[in-house]
Amino acid sequence: MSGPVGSVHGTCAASFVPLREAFAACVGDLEGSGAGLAVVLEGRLVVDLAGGWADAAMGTPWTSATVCPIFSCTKALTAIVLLRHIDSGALSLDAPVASTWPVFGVAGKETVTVRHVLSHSAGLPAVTEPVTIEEANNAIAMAALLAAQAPEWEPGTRHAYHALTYGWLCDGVLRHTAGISVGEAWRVLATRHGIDATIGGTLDASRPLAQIVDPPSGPLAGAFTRRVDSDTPPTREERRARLAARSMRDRAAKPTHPAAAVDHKPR
Amino acid sequence: MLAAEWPAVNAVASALALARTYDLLAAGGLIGQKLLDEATRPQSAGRGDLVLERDSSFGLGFMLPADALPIQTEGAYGHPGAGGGFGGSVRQRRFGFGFVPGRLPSGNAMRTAADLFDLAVAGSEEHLAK
Repeated sequence: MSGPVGSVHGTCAASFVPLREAFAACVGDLEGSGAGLAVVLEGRLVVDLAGGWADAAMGTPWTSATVCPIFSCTKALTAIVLLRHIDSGALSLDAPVASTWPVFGVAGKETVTVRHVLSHSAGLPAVTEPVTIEEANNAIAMAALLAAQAPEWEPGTRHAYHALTYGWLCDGVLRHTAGISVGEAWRVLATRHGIDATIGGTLDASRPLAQIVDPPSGPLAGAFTRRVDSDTPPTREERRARLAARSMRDRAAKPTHPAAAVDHKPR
Repeated sequence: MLAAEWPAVNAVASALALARTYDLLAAGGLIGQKLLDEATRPQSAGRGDLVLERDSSFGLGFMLPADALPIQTEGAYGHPGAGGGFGGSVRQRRFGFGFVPGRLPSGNAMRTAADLFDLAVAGSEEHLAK
C-alpha cells in the first residue's frame, strides 16, 4: 500500500488511537523516510502500524515487515543472549570476567565482573588504541584489544555508556564461556521464536530493508550507509561518539572507505 | 558492514520484532522472572554519565528512565538507538513495544520515542481495563 508521506496504515486497537495519532504526526515529520510501530500486549499484537517510505527513491512504502538498522536498540538483544547464558547457570553475574577469559584479568581488570560489563561500569568505555576498520569489523580482535587495556576507573565504582565496547565485551564473555558469538546465539533464538531480527551475518535479500536517511553523524555512520557528508562540522553527538569510539580514528585510513572518511572529517 | 557483528549497535530488525522480543521477555519466555527482575532494576545510575553527558541509569544491558531516557512510565526498561528508535517494556507487565524509524525524528528524537512509548503504555492500560 503506497500513499502520501505522513499516511499511516496497519492495524490498531481502539484504545491506541492517541498513539496512532502521535505516530502519524511523527511519520509526517520523517520527510523522505518512514517508520514502523508495534505493540504486543500479553502475546497479542494490538498495534501494528507503518507509514512513510522504506525507500523513497524506489517508491517502496514502509510496511510492518520492513527491517532497518536499529543502532543501540541492539544492546538489549545482546543482553538477552548473555542473560540466558547466566540463567542457565553456565556463568555467574558476579564472577570475574577473567574466570572464563583469563587474559582479560590484567591491568586492573581482575575485578571486572559480568555484572559490570552489562551495566556499563566496567571502566572500558572506549578502545584506546587506534584500530583499522577491518579490526573494528572483527569482534574477536576488538575483544582482544579491550582485554589488554587498563580500566579508566576502578571497576564498578562508576559508569559511563560503553557505546561500542559493550558489544565486544559481551561477545568476548560469551565466546569464552560458550564458544559462540552473540550474533550466532541470537540467530538461534530469533529463528526459534520467529523474530525478524539479526545481528550481523549476510542479509537475506528477501527481507525488506529500509534505507537510512541522514544517519546519525560520527564514526559509526559508515557502518550503516554509503552516504558520507564530509563538510559538516562535528556536532555534540559526534564529539560524544568520538569519546565513545576514539579507536575509530583509523591509522590506516583509506579515503575511499566510508567509515574511515567519516572518521577523518575535519574538526 | 551490516554483515560484520557489532553486538552493541548493528542489529537489523522490524518494529514488530522488537515488540515481540520484549513481550516474550516480559512473559518469562527468554529468561526467568527472577533474573529479569534483577536485569531491569538500576544497577548503575546517576553520577553523571561521562559519555552521554547527563545522568543515565542502566539495569543489566537495559537502559532505564533517567535524563538520558525521558520516559515517564514507572518501571520502564528497554534500549533506545541513535537512529531514534526504541524497544522496551515495563516491569511486572507482559508488554512489548517497538518503534523503528528510518531517519532521526526532528527536534528531541529521544523525547519522540519516549512519548510514543508512554502513549503505548497508557493505551495498554485502557485496553486491559475493557
